[in-house]
This record gives sequence, C-alpha cells and structure tokens, in this order.
Amino acid sequence: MSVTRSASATLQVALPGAPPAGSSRSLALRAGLVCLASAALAAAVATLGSGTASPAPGAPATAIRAGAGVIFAVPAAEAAAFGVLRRARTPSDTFKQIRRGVGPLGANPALARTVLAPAARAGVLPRLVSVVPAATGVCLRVLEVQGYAQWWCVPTAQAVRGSLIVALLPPAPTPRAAARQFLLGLVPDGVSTVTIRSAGGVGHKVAVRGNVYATAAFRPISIAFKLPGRGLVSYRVRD
Amino acid sequence: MEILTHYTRHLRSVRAVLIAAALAGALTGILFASQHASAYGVNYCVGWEPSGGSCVGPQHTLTADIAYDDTGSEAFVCEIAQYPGGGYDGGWGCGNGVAETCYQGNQLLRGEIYNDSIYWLYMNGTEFYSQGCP
Repeated sequence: MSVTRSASATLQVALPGAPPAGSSRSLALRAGLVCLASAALAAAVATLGSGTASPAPGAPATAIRAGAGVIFAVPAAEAAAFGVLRRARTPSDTFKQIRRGVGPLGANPALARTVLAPAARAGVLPRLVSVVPAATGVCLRVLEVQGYAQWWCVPTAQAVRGSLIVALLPPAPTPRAAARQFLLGLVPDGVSTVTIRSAGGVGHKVAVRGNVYATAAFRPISIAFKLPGRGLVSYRVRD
Repeated sequence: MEILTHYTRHLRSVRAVLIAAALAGALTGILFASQHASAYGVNYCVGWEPSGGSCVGPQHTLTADIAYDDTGSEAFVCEIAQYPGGGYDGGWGCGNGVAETCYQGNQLLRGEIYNDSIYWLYMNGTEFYSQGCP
C-alpha cells in the first residue's frame, strides 16, 4: 500500500494492490539506513561502556589476543615452510573449541590440522594436538582434557627454525619437580627425525609426522635435528 | 475516509518496518561490539622473575590465562591454574613462546606463571574472564 504525501494524494493512492516499486525501494532504503545508524550507535555505546567497566589488558596480552585480526587462509610463508598446512583439511582435522573465539595472534581454529589424536589418554598424553596458522606466527594447540586446552605460538621466523617446543607436565608445586613429561614441537619441512637427549646422557630419535614430533620423555635436556640449509641445530629444553 | 484509513495503516506499517530495522541494527551493533570489547582482562605478576620463580594471580572464573616473557628471549615459561582451595586444574604447560590456556569459565581459578629458564625474565600473566578462547 502506498501513499504519497502531497496535495494530490487522492489521485496517487494505489487501491487496492501492490505498492509501486519505487516506494518499496524507498522504504527499504530508509529501513537500511535506520538499521545501519542504530547498529553504529549501539556498537559505540557498548564499546564505550565495556571500556570503562573493565581494566585494560596489558600491551603484550592485547597484542596476543586482539592485536591481530583473525586469518581466513594459511599465510603463504607458513604454507611454504610447513607441509601440514599445505595439505587439504579432512574430517579428521576436528577441533573441539573450549569457548568459541579466535586463538592467539589471530589463529583460526577453522584452519587447524590435526597431527596427533591418541586413541586413549594416559598420564600427560594429550587428547588432541593441532597445528594452527596465525596472522603473525604458528601455533601448536593441545587439547588436554575436554574443558581445557593450551596454545603455544611463536612468530613464523622462529617457527621455521624449529624453536617451538612444548613440554606438558603433571601438576606439582613446581614444574621442575616432575621428571616425566610429554614433549612436542614443530619443525619445518625437511626435518624427518629429532634426537632428544635426556639428563642421563641418553639420546633417542623421534620421528616427525605432519611437521610435529611428540614423545614421552624423562628429564629431557636438549632437542637436536638437521635443519635444511642450516645444518645441525640444538635447543635446550627447559634450560 | 477510506483513504485516511489506508493512509494511517500505511504509516503504521512504515513505522513498524523502521522500528524493526532500528531494533535489528541495535542488536547487531551490540553483538558486534561485544565480540570485540568483551575481553575482560587483568594483568598480574608483571615484573622480573628469577630462575625457578613463580607468581600466582587473582581469583576469577577464568576463560583464558596468558603467560608471557616480555624479554623475547625464547626462554621457557610455564603456566598452570590453581583452585582457590588448593590443588591444580590440569598440569603444567611449559614452552618457549606465547602461552595461552583456555578454560570453560565455569569455576574459580588463579593463574600461575613460572620462570623455567636459567635467567631472570621480565614476565607477566594476564587472566581473562569473559571472552572466547578456543
């Protein structure tokens, strides 16, 4: 139904029938503008309100959490260095989110690739390990139990040197009290095995699958591997 | 009279459409803003920690806890969460990057950071208690 507000309204009333297309468009346009305006106003009010109600996170945490926008494709540098991020995602790349959101450094769970999913959990063995690309780095995400997950991320330049190393230890007053632990890390393409040396001087080789090595270890002190183009590199574990 | 009735009915429907659009817009705006502004974070234990030193944060219904080595030295830092009455929620996670642990946000916890390197580290922790954390 359409009425034009003018002196000749009686002549322009469309009775009965569909309103003229121009009038519908005008109403749709006005509705759209009102919608946009109210959205902007509400967003501004909500943002101002939350800003005054909560303490501001520190600079590092802000950078980790909100400074990087979420990514929707694997960054080229990460895809070039890590084959696991070049392969197509499959149904096995499941990702159980703890609370829906964006990971550290803009990591997107929708781009995660599963590298380890043990059938049964024992000790500090995690339930699920994923490699997740981020805006400014790469992350290992470890689902330990259903309601609890850890993310470890480093800038891409560090990740391609194989320096992303994570140790999972049982609860104790200090982590040094625990001798047995689960060790995992990310290495670039071309690294097929790593050698983990323990406090007793014993070293053992661990195979790399999907750019990730993962093994139980007893007081590990170093991880060594041959990095393509750089030769043998070694990292101290937990110093 | 019939024209007036139609005119009034038309005005009502226009007003209804505009009010609906305004409400939809406002809801969208609030949702959008809340996704980006609901990071209720508290820094804790900001400062130098000796080798083997640890520090415990305040109590919150944690959804995320971040441990960070501000020196950028790639040293190992560790993180865990304590229950208010003692005991731990999960084990220690130690690594040489940015560490973030995600929790469901349904229980009170206190974040704890630990310097697992042989050096002094300038560390900090951040507890979040209202935000997504996958």
